[in-house]
Amino acid sequence: MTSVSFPDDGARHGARAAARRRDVTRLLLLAPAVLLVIAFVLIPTAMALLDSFHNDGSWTIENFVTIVTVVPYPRILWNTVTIAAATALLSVALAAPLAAFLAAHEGFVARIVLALVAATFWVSILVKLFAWQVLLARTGPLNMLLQAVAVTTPGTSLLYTRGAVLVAMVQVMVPYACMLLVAGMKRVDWDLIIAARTLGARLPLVFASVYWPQVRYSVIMTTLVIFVTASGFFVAPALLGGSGEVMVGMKMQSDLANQYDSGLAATTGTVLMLGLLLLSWIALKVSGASFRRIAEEVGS
Amino acid sequence: MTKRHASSAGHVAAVMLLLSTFAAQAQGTKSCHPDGKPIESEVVFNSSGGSYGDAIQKVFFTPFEQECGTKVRHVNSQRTYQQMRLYVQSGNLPWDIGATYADQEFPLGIRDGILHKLPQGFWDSLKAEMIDGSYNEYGAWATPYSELLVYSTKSTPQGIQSWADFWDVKKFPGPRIIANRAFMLIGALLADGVAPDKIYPLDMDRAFKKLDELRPSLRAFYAAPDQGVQGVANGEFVFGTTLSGRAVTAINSGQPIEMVWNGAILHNSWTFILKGTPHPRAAEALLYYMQNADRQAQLAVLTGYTGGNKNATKGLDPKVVRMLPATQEHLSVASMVDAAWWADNNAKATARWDAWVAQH
Repeated sequence: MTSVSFPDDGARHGARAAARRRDVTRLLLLAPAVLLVIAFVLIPTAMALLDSFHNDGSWTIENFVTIVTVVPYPRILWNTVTIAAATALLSVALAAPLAAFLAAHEGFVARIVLALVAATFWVSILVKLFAWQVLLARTGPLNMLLQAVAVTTPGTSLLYTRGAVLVAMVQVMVPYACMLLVAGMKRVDWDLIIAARTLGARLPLVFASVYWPQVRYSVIMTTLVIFVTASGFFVAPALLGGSGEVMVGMKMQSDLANQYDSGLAATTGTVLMLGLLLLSWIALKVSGASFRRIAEEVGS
Repeated sequence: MTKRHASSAGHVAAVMLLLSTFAAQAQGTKSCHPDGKPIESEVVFNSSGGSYGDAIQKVFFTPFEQECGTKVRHVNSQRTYQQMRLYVQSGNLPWDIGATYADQEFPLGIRDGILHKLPQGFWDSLKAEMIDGSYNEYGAWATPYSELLVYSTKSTPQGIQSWADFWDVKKFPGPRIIANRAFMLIGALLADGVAPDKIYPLDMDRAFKKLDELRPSLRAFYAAPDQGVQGVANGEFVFGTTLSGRAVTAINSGQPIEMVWNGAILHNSWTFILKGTPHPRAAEALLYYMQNADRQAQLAVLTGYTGGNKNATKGLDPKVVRMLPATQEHLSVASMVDAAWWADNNAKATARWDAWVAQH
């Protein structure tokens, strides 16, 4: 049991051991999140995927045929995509100026504004929706005002419409859009903009060729996140929408409760998920972004 | 108890058995089982909780514990029918006795053999007080509830009397709101002149044709029954449907709402015992106890609902009685949901209903 060791070798051993320890620590720190995602996202998703190919105990694509061809599924998928897209675009458009302000300022006023945005997260979505039920009611304040200036007649109602659903969903999503955008806009390099101005570029040109390229990925990513979140909305269309605003969440709930079989609901979820992935991929391609580039952006 | 039997040597074994089974039972309390024999020392009741859970605790469980010496553990779980069936199949019951959460659960439970069968002659001593059809060998009514028409006494002071009036858009123009549930097919058939007791087997084609007629005036299909009554109260809609309990809450808080009992859709709600329960006799005793007229009267005051005892409304304030779904007067004009038909056809009817709502 004699071993010869050189001092140099021992040091290298020590460095390698330290690196291994660092790797182990890193793995241990990542493990809870990774396990959580595997247990509560990947496994259930895989189970739903399997379930969607099941009907009356045998393997089939019948559920998918139903979703694509049988009334009312195509209509409901279309409702979902259009409502979610409108919500995403409106939310980002409304949140962008606010986010730009918050990203560029750090004083007392900015802190107050940021606190106000954060405070809206504390208000339950149900409270927001019921508030809209009161505000948009036929005899509610908004309709009274519109009638007074003769925009609407006493017969019209703003509730149970596409507009009511959109207003509420945008209200819920704007703070999220704002927070996501601020994170991206904070990394804008203002020296480049000052340089462009110094060299005589007009504001539209500065925006198009200096500012926009720096925030493009974060705007696209925010739009996608809001779009995906909005497509899963259930309570807003159920409480404020009419029959033209039935979204997939509502139909999945009805199918789960009434069909004694989770196959159709699983298929609806699968189709929605695949559709969202495809749309996200197209949006990223068209805009010249990619998941990898965004990951690098975030990592840098 | 031991003295009486000890003289006869042949009964010693039986006594030992009884003692070991019911050792934990409190001494000196009377048995609450209709056959007078002892019951187990504990029973677990599952309810959906909330203010209704508080009310049944106060009216039934607490006095049962005091009078019968058996502990009632009251749990609240949002189980599905499938979960309940799994409990019985696995022999692992989280509770012994509870109420149905949907119409079709009771006939499905009987069909699937997951409900505890009551002993022969269980209801004999109570039969005379009970509404016909409110009890059978697997359970008794918990609190049947009505889905009915409501109107605003402010905008329609003359009121409406029936589903036919609800459909009459010439006489009563204006937007309506109904539940986003296939049970609305019953209302359509009632509006089309079908007698409340002749609805089944339900003619879906005829019902959807009648619904098509009213479609332009149906502005919303609610997810929460409060939307129906609030929408009518604040003038968003001329008429709507809601659950009677929600209408009672609105009326009691001063809203200008009136209910139309004629053609009310009466939903089933049963108390039942799970098969294989470790506390069958205590569960039976509790089920029996809950059918008492006085206790159901107290429940009516607290919740606006009663069970199947005819005498529960005797001596109650008429103001309370006129808001109860299961009085003789209201039952005679209601359309009772045929739970067996819905158990077989709910999936198909709801699929058609969802398509009809979303496609128009």
